[in-house]
Amino acid sequence: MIRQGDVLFIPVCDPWETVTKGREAKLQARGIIQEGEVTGHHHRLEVLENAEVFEIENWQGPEKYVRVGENGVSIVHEEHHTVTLPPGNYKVHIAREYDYLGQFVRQVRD
Amino acid sequence: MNYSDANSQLTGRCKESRKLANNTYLRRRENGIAVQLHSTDILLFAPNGNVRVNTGGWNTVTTKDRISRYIPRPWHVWSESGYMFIGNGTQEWNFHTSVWIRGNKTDGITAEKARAGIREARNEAMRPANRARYWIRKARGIFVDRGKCEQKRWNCGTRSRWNARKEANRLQPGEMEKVLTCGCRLFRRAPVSHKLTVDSIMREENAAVRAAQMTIYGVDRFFLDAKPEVMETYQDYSLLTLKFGEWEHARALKMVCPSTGAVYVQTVPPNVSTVALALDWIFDTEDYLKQVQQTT
Repeated sequence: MIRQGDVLFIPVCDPWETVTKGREAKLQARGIIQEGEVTGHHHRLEVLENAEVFEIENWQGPEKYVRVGENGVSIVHEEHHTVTLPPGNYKVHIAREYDYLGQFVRQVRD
Repeated sequence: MNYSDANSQLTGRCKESRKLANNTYLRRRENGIAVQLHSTDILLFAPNGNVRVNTGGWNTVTTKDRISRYIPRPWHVWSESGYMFIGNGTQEWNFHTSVWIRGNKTDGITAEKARAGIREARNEAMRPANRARYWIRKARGIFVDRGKCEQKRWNCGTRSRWNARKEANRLQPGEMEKVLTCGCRLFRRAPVSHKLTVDSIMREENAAVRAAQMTIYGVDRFFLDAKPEVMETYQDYSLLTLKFGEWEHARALKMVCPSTGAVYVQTVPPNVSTVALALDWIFDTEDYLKQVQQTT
């Protein structure tokens, strides 16, 4: 697992066909993994040719996956150091926090 | 019905008891004649003309129906918000379970005084909820101005609190104001925390108000300022806990960013007890600490 700030990349062992089976995978053309809603800082691919970001609808909501090519890819962010993802498929987990006001769980807003 | 009417009905073989309606009987008693519903004497006609009305605590539709049916005219009974009232067309009284009618008056509490008391009791009961609602609205920082709404209430975009919140959730993070098609204006107002202190928040007994005040103060800032108890420390992570009284507490994970050195505080549910569990919860993983290879 590789973490960059509030984004965690978890390697997926299953082949890509199994991950997308019966579900539509939408390609994120700009290579943005997580948009910074508050600061405007994004977690994004440094080189678009080396990897692809997909959004797949799940019953719980959209899930993001990164499909990294043979050369690996660097993920950049304005605040955090760059991390390098080796070739493979990764599921993106966004950090969450507990809201004591509404007593529910929500994703962290960067 | 009055005493003489009731007495005239109790004759012959029915001189002691006569059926009036379903589960309702006219019965002769030592001190008068009673209308009995199930086992409660809901009306008692005294020989001197006085009448006792008694619900026995059963403020049901049937009880009110039977009392209204057999009470002397123009007296009638009804209930308002679960409180029993009796009136004769000109004056009204409140009573708890029973009341005596003597001539044109009763020994109940006058309706005006009773209604004021009921209103005050209701306000008193609603006060904590209203206070919590006020603070929660303030913490969310989204308000509705219905002044220029051109629609009827049921067509308005903010017709319910739920609708207003749904519309408010559509406000983009930077968007401060939005006018809906009905004319209602949704606007953000940044919560002001200058009157809130850590002590005042910690002393707050209402959990909903406290959570709202924490949000206004800034949860991260509050956790750092309130001198929380450190439950566990592992590398750059610390699990903090803030105790509010004997039973309630809030927990958060304090992290130091390896890239910038900035301190982040992320709230976790109150049942998370270790750093490892907190990290697993935050990133929705199993065994985060063992599996993570790079952290920036």
